Amino acid sequence: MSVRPSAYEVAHVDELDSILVAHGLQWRPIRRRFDVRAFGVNAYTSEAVGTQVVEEHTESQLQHEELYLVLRGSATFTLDGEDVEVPTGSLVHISDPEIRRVAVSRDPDTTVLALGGKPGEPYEVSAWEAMFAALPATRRGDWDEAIRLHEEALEKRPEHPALLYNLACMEARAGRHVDALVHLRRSVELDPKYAGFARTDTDLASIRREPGFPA
Amino acid sequence: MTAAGWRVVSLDEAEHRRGWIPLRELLDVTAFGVNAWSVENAGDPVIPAHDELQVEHEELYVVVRGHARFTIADDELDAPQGTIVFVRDPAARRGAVAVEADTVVLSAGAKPGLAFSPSAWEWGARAWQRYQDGDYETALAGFREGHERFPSDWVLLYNMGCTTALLGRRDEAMEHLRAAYALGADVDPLTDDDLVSLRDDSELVAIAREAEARRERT
Repeated sequence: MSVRPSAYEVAHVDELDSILVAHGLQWRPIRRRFDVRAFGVNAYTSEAVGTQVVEEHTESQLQHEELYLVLRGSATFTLDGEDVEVPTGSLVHISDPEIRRVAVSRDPDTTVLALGGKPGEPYEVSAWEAMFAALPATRRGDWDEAIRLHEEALEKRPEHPALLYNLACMEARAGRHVDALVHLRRSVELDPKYAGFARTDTDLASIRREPGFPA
Repeated sequence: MTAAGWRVVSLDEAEHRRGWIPLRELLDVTAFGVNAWSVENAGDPVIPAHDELQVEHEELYVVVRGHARFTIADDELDAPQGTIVFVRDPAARRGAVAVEADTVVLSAGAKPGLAFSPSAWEWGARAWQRYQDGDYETALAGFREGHERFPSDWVLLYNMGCTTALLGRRDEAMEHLRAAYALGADVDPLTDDDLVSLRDDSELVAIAREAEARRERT
């Protein structure tokens, strides 16, 4: 069952795309699939018991308030070092963006729904979505597709340093050295920390000796 | 379980108000609207039929437990546990009925392009609980509190009119009803059982005629 009329859309959580992100964590994009524009929403499934079902992170950059719902299975959430067992049908609300959070599955096929947004501001699509969405193309070396996904995200966030940096990496891999240098330099101008990453990033090996490479 | 900056709640243990689990209020979520809805029996409405024209929210529903059947516009959708229903169009009338006993549906909503703030609906729903208990004075106080925060919401004013009528305060009821219809109330007061004591009142009849004439014009 999956229909796509304009007024509404429906899908079962098992029908969503499943993209391996890291540490056995499968991203199941909901916001991107339905083009939800008012808040962030995704699901995550762990590959095996004991693997992550919520990636370790804070929300200090985006300042999002987050609400997690364990939709299937159960998970141990660790919130600023404190472990909490969360069964099916329970919710974890994290209002403080600085709290470090991670969840590990306790049952096979554990699935967690995540909702997020920044209080007091209209929702904006987060740049990490495009980076996650490009992972399958990156893994199979389909640089054109990975570049397309980053360029699409940059149309809405043209000055996003992480997106520009990742785009430069894809372009360097694709042999588009001039484009890669332009985007890398812009990324470093916007956030100098990317110069440090660039010095050792293997994706950028092909342009590291080019004049203008930000050292 | 709770600590500074986070809280864990079970849908089973959270406060239920006749099937409404007011998650946004209980958790003080401020970035988007979120609630859950629980019914005991198959055949019970788990999401009351409504549209989102007033607040223009996008809505996302997730069947957390059990099995529901959604009706959106004229379409029926089977929605077993794990189904996600996203309603983009605020004008699409949507509702759901439980297919299995003990069905729970989570709903989230907000208006694209606008910072979220809780809507008048929440104040009305809280007061409505007291109205259903027959505690009209407390219900009236709840509707009034909502009206003070959302003065242009005709539903709150209309319900203030209904509760004051049930309390036998005719003049006050008329004042609220006049204000509700001035804001565009589009219900027929002559068929509302809460207003039966005023049904022959010439002022209410005049309000009803004026409202009907306005509906015909539009």
